[in-house]
Amino acid sequence: MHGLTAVRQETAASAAVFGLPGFHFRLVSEDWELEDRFRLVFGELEGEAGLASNPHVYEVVCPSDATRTVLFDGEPIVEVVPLSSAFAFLEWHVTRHCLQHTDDGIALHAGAVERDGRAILLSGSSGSGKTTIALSLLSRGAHYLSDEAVFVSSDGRVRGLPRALALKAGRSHWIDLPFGGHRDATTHCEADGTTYVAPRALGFEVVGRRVEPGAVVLLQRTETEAGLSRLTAGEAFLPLLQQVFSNEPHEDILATVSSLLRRAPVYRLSGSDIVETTSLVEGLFETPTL
Amino acid sequence: MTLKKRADIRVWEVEGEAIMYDPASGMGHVLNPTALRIWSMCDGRPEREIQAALGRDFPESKETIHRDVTGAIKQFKELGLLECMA
Repeated sequence: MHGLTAVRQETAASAAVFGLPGFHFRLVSEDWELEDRFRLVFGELEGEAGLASNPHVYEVVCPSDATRTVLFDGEPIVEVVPLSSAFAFLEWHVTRHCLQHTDDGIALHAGAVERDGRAILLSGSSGSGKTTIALSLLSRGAHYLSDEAVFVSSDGRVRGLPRALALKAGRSHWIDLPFGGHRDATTHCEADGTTYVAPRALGFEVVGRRVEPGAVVLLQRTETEAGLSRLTAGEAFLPLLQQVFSNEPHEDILATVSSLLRRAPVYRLSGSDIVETTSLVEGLFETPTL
Repeated sequence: MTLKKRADIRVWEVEGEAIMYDPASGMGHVLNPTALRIWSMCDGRPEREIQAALGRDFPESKETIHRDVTGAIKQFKELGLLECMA
């Protein structure tokens, strides 16, 4: 292992390449651990790399053991310590860049899983349970689109931002995962209180293509019994708009949200029991409206 | 006074309700089925004709209709969504 490390240190900075439709990033780093974490978190995107001709380049340099400076397309954007903060910053920056600069419709703050060609979107603010319910549905055989954001095209169909599952410390991610508690650098990494889990490494299938939305579920964590109620388009519109990554209700955004509402019924999910709430959401795969 | 929708207002109907966008103000609005029905009749006819048309469709709700039409049109006007012609 030491030999491998020594060889790596003797070489010049390495480069990881990752991308998704419309995006293409290179990470050039003197820090192998950081690069390995990036491969884990955004590795799902590597198959799509090369779709954009001019990649954005992140460079991470290490002025000292404790310091990491990050440049984006040649411009320094942050100097951070320690490593975990550098990684958390990079993960945030890449995600934000994709959400703000997508030309693949609008970006919606929602996790999503798929079964039989139909996606269920799990929309809600941070801490509302997107990752927990997505993970629970994956363990019941659904396929993974994203636990953070989906891109909704003008015709209302959706594509996930396919990065690793991000399990925040202190949240109720107590689902039994198929790896049976095994953890290593190929399946997990931790940074700033978040554990990133590669879905493919856990045996979950990742869906990178655009799919039909089957239902949208607005997550509302409550102490009441689990319940699912159908919303009218008018009731659903504003809560959905609040989850769009944009501050302005531009005409294109409204038209796209309208397309999504035409394609998929919207439900509000209440409750906090993960088994009960997951069962309710899973039942939507079976409804004739899907 | 006759009431007419501004031509540049965009409306997307979804299951009997609608989402409206006003490019001049950059604001979006949601119309419930009643408001959408009233909006669709703002085609240059006077308010009393809109009330009469709805009253024919829903004769059992005349009092409610009067309140709904007056309230909706007041809101449309306040939001600047109508061209009002004498």
